[in-house]
Amino acid sequence: MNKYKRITLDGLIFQNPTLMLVLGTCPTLALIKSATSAAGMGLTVLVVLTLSNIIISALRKVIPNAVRIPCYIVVIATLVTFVRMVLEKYLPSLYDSLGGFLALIVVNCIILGRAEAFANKHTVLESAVDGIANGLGFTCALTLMGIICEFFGSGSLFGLKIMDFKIAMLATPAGSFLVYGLAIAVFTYVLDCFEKSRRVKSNRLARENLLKEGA
Amino acid sequence: MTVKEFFKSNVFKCITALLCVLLVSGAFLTVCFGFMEVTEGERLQRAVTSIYEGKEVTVYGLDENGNDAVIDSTVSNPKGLLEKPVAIGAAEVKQAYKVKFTEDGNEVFNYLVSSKGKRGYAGGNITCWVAITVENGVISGIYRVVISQSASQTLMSDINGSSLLQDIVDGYEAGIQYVPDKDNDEYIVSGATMSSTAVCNAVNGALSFVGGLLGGNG
Amino acid sequence: MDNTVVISTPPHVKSRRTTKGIMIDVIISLLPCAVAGIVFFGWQALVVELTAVLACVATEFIYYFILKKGFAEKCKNAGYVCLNWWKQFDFTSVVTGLILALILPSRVNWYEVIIGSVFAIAIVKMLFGGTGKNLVNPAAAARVFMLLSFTMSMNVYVKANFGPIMESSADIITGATNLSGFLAVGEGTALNAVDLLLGTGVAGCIGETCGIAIILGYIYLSVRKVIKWWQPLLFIAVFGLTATLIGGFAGDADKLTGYYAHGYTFDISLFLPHILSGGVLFAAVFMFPDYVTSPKGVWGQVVYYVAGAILVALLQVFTKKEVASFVIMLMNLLVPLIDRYIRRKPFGYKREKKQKSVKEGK
Repeated sequence: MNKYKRITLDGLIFQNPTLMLVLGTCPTLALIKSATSAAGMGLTVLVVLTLSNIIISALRKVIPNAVRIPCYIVVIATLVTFVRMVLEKYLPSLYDSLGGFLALIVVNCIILGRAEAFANKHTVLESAVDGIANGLGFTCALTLMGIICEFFGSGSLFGLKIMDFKIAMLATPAGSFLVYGLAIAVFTYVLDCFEKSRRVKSNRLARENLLKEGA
Repeated sequence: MTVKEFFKSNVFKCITALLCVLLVSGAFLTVCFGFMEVTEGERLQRAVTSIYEGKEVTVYGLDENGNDAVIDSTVSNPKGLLEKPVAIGAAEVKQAYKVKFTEDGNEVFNYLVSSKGKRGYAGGNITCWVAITVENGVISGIYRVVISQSASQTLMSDINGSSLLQDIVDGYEAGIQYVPDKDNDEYIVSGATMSSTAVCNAVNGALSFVGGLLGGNG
Repeated sequence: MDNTVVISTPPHVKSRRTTKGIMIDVIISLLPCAVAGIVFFGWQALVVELTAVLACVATEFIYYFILKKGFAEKCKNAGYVCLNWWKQFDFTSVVTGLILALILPSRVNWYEVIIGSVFAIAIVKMLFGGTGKNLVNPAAAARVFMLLSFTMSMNVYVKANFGPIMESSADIITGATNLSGFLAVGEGTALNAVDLLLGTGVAGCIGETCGIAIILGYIYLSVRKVIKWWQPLLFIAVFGLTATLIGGFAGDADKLTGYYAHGYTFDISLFLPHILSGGVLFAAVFMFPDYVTSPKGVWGQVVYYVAGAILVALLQVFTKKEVASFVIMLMNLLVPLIDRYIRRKPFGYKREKKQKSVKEGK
């Protein structure tokens, strides 16, 4: 498979940082009570992740191995501060809904994890693709869970009130934890089914090929 | 280790790399800060604009000489009408500003008061921002009551449209003090409890404060 | 003598008790409370009880059908699968449903009961492994879930009236049960101990108000040896003592007059009302001694009950709300810790001294 396609699929589905690797759970638990804040956090992490991957990958030959973690953290903190300033100036509503979790992106495991595991071993273009893919995976997972939590927990969708009935616990972090666990279960199950059907199909094809060759 | 060895060693490379990264980041952030700084005055203005739902507002505080000063994005240290919090009845008034905006072609003056109402459910407090309309030197109504929450980062950002607050706004009559509705004493809002007693105390305190200001000014 | 060798697989010694038998005993002991609830609270209580039990059983059935492997094959011979399910049906979900119904107020809506039941069975019990593997008591967890989710319905407690089912004369009290009225005197009606025991005129959850019914259930369970007789007694004793001791401190800070003045008063006559108000009696008999979620050794159980009683007393006196379910969940989560650190006697262990004397005696 094409290298970039593999990186993208890994970041998006097969090694989704939220649902498969269970990284970055702190903002997940706090922010999926509303779909807009979930999407906002996802997009912010996407931007920071891509930029940090690009910078770290560009500097990978220059930074000595012994000080790489402090350097990565300085780079990530700079990027997060920059994004914070931009958001506060131009998008104050998003800045508000993220609250204190914007500053917590510095220690988000996804960003440091991808920097450590991928960016310092691959080229700039590959790292950029990986950053975008992981960020998109994070955003999609968060937004889906946010939609579920917001719909059942507050009866609204993206801020528009739809129904009066609500299960108020799902709007709290405890309910978010519950939905998170169930989402991981459902996602793994769907992936397993997909995997199994693909294997069954490839087995069947292989067998037919063998029969054809034998005949 | 000799000086030459030191310059070639790994330790020197590490220190240099780290210092370079720090310097570049610092310079970059300083440049950004110069372009994108948000002053305290601008924050206050944004918050007040959000209370008034996007109308063009002018916020007045006090400057060092005690005169009215317009608070906008050039002011980095806005001062309200109070030097320190004032206790009135069962409430404590912490900050006050004057606000002017146009509605239907007329200029309307409001006093925007932040007051903390005490003796709520189980002895708790609630801090509200109360916008009081003033006409011809007399209190003519309450424009808005907003509960301030500290969960977010900007001032007064969480505008709460619950019916409890709307009753207070609608039910204003001159000279009447608000009496809390005993049945409503625990209004449970997804985990946080708002007490109507505390809110009413806060609103009463704000009204008394503004009445005192206006009465004092003749 | 017959010299044939008999080969058999373990277990070689079997008892007659089965899970199904134990559960049916528990259901029988819950019936007085259920009937008392219907008498006091009217047809709404019956609706809640039936909905809870049916929803729990249906959830277990659907879980069994869908989530064990082979959904497609199961659909093909559905009748066979249903028969299998009935054969392995132990009545645990019926018990869970009944207990859940009895700790709810009588005015909850039917769809909220269904959601609570699904949470109790599917998430708290089935996802953790099924019968015998749940970490917390499913009924207590479901009640906590419903309390946090449906705040408007769960805080309305109807006052019970003795007599035929009359809806028009039932007073509705918002807020906590009679507990809060009793603990903050001046606001609640003063009920004497007999009233509380019989449950007449008391506002509370369906199964918690009638003390006599709970005591009947307790006697039946002890006689049938389903629970050990000393466990609820220990709990009630410690709880009552602690609550009476602490009660002297719990004056309301802002209220200048009150039953508990700012000083400390120790009033032993408050022992009975403390025990009989709120859901403590029900929790002590039916929810705390649950086998799956309580410690296994004797001393572990003693620690569990004493700690649980002290916690419930502290929290109830100072917050004036129903906290039994929260404390049950908390203690259940501590049970693995208790089991690990309090060593228990191995099964069949006898002290060495006695063994030696038996051997020497022979």
